[in-house]
Amino acid sequence: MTDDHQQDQDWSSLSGVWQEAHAEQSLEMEKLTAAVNRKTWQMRLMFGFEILTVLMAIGVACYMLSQDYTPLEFYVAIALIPFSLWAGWYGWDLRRNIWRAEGDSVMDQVDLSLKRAKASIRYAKMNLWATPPMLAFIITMYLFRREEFDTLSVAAVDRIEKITIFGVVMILATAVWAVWYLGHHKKNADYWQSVKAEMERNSHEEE
Amino acid sequence: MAPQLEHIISEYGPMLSRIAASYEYDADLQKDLLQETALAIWQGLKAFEGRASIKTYVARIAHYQGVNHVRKSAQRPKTAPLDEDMTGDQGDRAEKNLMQNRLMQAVRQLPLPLRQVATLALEGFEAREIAEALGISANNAAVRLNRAKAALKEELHDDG
Repeated sequence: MTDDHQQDQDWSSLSGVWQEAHAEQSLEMEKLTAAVNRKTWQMRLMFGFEILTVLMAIGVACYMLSQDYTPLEFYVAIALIPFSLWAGWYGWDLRRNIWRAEGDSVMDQVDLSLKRAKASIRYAKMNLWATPPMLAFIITMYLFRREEFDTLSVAAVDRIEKITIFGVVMILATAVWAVWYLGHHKKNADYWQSVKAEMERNSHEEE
Repeated sequence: MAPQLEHIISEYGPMLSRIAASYEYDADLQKDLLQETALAIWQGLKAFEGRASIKTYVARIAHYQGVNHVRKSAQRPKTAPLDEDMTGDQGDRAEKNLMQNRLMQAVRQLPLPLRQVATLALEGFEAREIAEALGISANNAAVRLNRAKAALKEELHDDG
C-alpha cells in the first residue's frame, strides 16, 4: 500500500468521524425554525417602525410649515424632509446590500465587512467635523434673532429659546454618539483587517 | 419560514452545527451562532442565483458567520475540557465521542485559513468547491488543505 493511499484512507476515516459528530443536533431544528421565524418578525417590525418614523418626521415638518414659523423653524422643517427620506432609504439600502452579500465567498464578505467598517468610521468623523459648524450656525441664528426679542411676544421668545436649546442638546448628543460609534467601528475595522491580512498572507505565501 | 430554508436546515443542519462548533466551543453560544447562520441563510436565499451549489452557498455563509461571531464575542476559539457526556459513556460510543471531541479540538487549534479549509474538506468538499466557498484559487486551496492535513495529523498524534 502506498503512502498516498494510506493518507487517503486516514483522511477518509477522519472525515467519517467528523461527519458523525453533531448529527443528532438536527433534531433541534424545530427550535431553530421558531427562532428564525421570531427574528423574521422582529425585522419586519423594525422595518415598519423605520417607515413610521420617516412618515412621522415628514408629518412634523409639514405641520411646522403649516403654522406661523420663524426662519429657524422654516430651515429645520425644510431640512427634515429630505433628511428623513435619505435616512429611510439609507437603512433600507444597507440591509438590502447585506442580504445580497450573504452568499458571496468568505473572502469577499470579509472584504465587504472591512469596507463597511471604514465607511462607518468616515460617517462618524463626518458627524464630528459637522458638530462645530452646526453649533456655530444654531448659536448665530439665536444671537441674530435675539436682537428682535424686544419686538416679539414672550411666547415667541420662549419658543426660540426652547428650539435653540433643543438643537444644541441634539447636536451634542449626536457628537457623543459619534465618538462611541467611531471607537466601535475602529475596533471592527481592526478585526476585519487582521482577518483579511491573515487570509491574504497565507494566499500570497502559497501562490 | 420558507420551505426551501426548512429543507436546507434539515439537510445541512449537522454540517452547520459542526462548522459553528469549529468557531465556538461553548454549546449555548454554538446554538446562538447556528441561529444567526440560519437567519443569514434565509436572508441570502433571496439573492441566491444558483451559481454555486446550495451546499457551497450555505458553507460560505456559515464560515463568514463564524468569523463574525468571533468578532462579536471578542474571543478566539478556546480549548475546552472534554464534555462529561462524551467521556462518561461506555464502550464504542464513548470511544467514538472521544475521537470526535479530539478531532474538533484539533480543528479549533488550526489557524483560521487552515481551519476553514479543513472543516470544508472534512465535510467532503473538493478542492475546487473549497476555493469557490472561500474566494481563493484552487491551487491555494489544495496547498492549504495539505498543510491542514499535516497539522491535524500532528495535533492528533501529539494528543494520542
